[in-house]
Amino acid sequence: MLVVFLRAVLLYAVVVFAIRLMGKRQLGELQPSEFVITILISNIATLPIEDTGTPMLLGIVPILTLVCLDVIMSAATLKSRRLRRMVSGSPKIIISDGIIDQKLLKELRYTVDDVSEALRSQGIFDISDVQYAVIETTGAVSAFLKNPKQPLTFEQPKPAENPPQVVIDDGDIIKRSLKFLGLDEQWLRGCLAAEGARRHEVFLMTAKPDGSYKLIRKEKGL
Amino acid sequence: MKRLWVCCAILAVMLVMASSWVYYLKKSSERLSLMIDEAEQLAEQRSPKAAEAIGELCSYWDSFASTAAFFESSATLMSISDSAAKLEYLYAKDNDEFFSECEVIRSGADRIFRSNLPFLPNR
Repeated sequence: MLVVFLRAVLLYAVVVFAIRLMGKRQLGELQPSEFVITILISNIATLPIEDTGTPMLLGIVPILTLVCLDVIMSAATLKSRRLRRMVSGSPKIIISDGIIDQKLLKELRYTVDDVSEALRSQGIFDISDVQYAVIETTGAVSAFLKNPKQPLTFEQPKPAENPPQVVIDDGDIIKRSLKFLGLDEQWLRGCLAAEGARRHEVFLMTAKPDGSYKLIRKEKGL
Repeated sequence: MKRLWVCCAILAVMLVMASSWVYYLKKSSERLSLMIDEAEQLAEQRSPKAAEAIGELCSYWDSFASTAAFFESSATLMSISDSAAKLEYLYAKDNDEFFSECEVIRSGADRIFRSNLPFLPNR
């Protein structure tokens, strides 16, 4: 009994350390790989606690290995957008200008009921009220309402338009977003020239379909 | 970035530990095999040094088992420890099972080593 108690205390400390090592990202919305690792850790941790014949290290080693690999993979995905898309996938636009992309829904194996349910949880009960909706990499649905359905603010109402898209992410051009906005790389090069910035110096650049944009340069040393 | 270095350090430590453990197992099983050979030979000759050799074999196994308990399942180690505990009695009674128990220890130690290799060894 004392052995089981001490094993549980030790493994609790290891699991807490492991979760802390994974960082704050772990505590928010889980990416697919993080979700798998969280389930694996909980399973692995129970084995040495329950079975006193199993050495503690056979529980600690796989937990630490999984967490370390996850942290290394997170760092690698931070550097490579392609790897990030491979590991976590990319957000998919399922409603644009109020029109549902049925082909994409089928590809994602999402039913209209799933989308309606996700929208209802955000207080949206009519799909036609949605200007733009995205299925995030975590599986959550984010929606942007059409102008007449937007909450009232002090700003003048603007004509209906899709929200801004990220066109440069950490120096990488997002061609998909440019295509979605109806813009091209020539327009992007013009904007960068006007700002006197080179592509790899840009941390984030967002643009709207009307060609207006916002640009944030990388801080020095990053 | 600090977190990344901590993870790399942990992985490196675990890799070194795992490799050292395999090396330690190889050396220990080889030494155990030599000690068993010696004990069997002396026991066959009913040499007065046989009891001493068996005692050394048992104490070596005990120290190996206590280290191995950090990494190996206790069921495997216990079954071999049972065989080791019988050796002195079986030798004193001049029982032929002494030799079979020696082989149990040898094959058990070899099995522990082989189960730690990340590939199927050629036999």
